[in-house]
Amino acid sequence: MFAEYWDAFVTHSSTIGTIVSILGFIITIFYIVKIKKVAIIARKASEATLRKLSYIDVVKELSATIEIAEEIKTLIVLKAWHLLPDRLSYFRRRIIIIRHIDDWVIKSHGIDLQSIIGYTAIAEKSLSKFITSGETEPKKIEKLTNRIIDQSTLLQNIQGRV
Amino acid sequence: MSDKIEELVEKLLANTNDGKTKWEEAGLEKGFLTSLSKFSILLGVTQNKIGDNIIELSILNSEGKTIEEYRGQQLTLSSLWNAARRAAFGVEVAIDALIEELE
Repeated sequence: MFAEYWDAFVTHSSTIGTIVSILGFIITIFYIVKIKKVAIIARKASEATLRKLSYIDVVKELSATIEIAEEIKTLIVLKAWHLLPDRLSYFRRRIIIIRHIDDWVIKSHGIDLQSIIGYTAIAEKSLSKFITSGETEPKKIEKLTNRIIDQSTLLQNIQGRV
Repeated sequence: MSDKIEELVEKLLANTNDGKTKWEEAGLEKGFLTSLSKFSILLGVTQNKIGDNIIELSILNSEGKTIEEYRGQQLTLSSLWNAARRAAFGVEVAIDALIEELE
């Protein structure tokens, strides 16, 4: 009696083993897919959080930089030419920092920020030349004032779009 | 003019004429500036001893540092200067408005 059962078990054991292996494999694949989906969701959530944090950083930096632009406008009105190159340099460096906060900043506002960097670098160079020249007032001062106002407005627009 | 600078000038000229590249007055300097996402191009003009215009093309990097300067009198460079000036001052728009008003 036992020998018959044993023979039957031996005959079917490889089939049962194969089925159990396939079932185990399917269950493993199912859990791997499930874990992968959970990992993707977690990664997306983490990226979204980081992006939100970078938006906050950009808005914070933009606000501080707009304040520097306002300070530069005041210095122009006060004709404090000797203080301007340093403030313009600081302003430009802040814009460079904003550019490097995240890739989306360059993708979305790269040209506008580069334009501000370009104008500021030119203004710094021109003012430094003027200071060493010994003249009393830089030429085309209205243009410089207008450019700073344009840059400040551009930063406010970027801040509005962020 | 090096081949690459010549290619750059030609592309800038074509894009300016097509209205794809915008130029603006560069502030204190007598010149015009255009910016792409990582670089700016400044066009300036000076005169030599006999009064001929020398066009200066400068490339500014993403930190505002001048990384390349080129000076020349080539026709393409002069054409680019004129195209940039016309674009920055909106000369085409002004002429169209004048023609329309005179009709």
